[in-house]
Amino acid sequence: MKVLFSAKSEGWNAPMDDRFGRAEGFTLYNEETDELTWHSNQENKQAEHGVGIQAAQLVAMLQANVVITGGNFGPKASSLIQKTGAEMIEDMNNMSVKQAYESYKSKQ
Amino acid sequence: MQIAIASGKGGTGKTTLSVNLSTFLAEKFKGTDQKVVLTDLDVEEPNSGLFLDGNLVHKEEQFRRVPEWDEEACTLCKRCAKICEFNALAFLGISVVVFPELCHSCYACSDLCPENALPMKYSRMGDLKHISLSENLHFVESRLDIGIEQATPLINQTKQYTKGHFDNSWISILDAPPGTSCPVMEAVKDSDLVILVTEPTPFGLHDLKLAVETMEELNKKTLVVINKHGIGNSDVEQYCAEKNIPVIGRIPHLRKAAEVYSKGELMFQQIPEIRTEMENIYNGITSWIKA
Repeated sequence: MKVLFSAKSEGWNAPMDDRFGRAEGFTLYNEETDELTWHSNQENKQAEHGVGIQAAQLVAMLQANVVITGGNFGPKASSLIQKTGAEMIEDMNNMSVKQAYESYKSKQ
Repeated sequence: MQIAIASGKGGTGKTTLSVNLSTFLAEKFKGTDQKVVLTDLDVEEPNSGLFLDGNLVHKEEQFRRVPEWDEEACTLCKRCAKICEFNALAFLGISVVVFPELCHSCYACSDLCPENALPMKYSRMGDLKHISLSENLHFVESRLDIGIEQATPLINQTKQYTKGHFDNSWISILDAPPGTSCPVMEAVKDSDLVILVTEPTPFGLHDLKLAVETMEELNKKTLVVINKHGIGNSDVEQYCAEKNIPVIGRIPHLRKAAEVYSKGELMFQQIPEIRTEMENIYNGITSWIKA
């Protein structure tokens, strides 16, 4: 399973970003291979409109099964992520990516 | 001759000036071959019509075109989502989703799609009305439908209607939307002259400066009319003097003006001081034309 986090910076210890479309970047954790990859959002977050759409395209491209953000998904992003079939988790703020992952796992 | 009436701040008196000046000019020109057409381009909240009664000449629906995804024809090449400047298309690996509210109807995705899988389809924006008030005064307005996010395409099409129906023998007055963003620029960009309405307060001055900067960027000649003259301070006058922008009218702040306005009537017809100001504004415009 692949889990995508909106995060302020790279790595497990980075704080979660409470924005989704305008997050600093995205951390993808692949549970099968135990790999952690970073996808910077610097270019997209500058756009005036449609940043949630861009981020949702990344969800599709990376084939994430779960998407976790510190705040909320916007209406456009959530309508698209829904189409990809990924599970959406909101409000994982004031914690690190690692803590968000553990919190998600403990609730499963 | 096309004159746009604009302002940075909302509620400063664009509509008040538009309807009073248009009607004043039409009365003044009576018996001559000069005619006036007023177009309300504040399509998100058109209200000039509240002050003007006349006969409906024409009414039409207004449409723009947005792409519609043809799943059968699409080969999922992703080109459309890459080209779109406005992020209005999402490529989800197995499907393409169009967000019409972000689309600027530029046709790039549709024209560049190798499979013709994004044909442009009509999408309703609102209604346009053309009203005749007298032989030498006509009025055009458009009203954007609730829920439609972009005013600019409707503003553009409304201007095209006015241009197509009224030749150069008409003085065209445009009541622009407030602010300094795309809708305002679309409304004023091809006008010969822009009259900025402001009020003599710190708020008025702050937004007047933004409007002046916008018009400078567009290379527009601007004149200023101060509404609610008598309140606030003289900072607006000082700013205009420094900038060399003529103040061609000062509409006094009167209780009677608010009463007349609240009944949807025209101030210059009932208040002599305001009639004098319309005359001053007319003179200000004509001396600008001569210069």
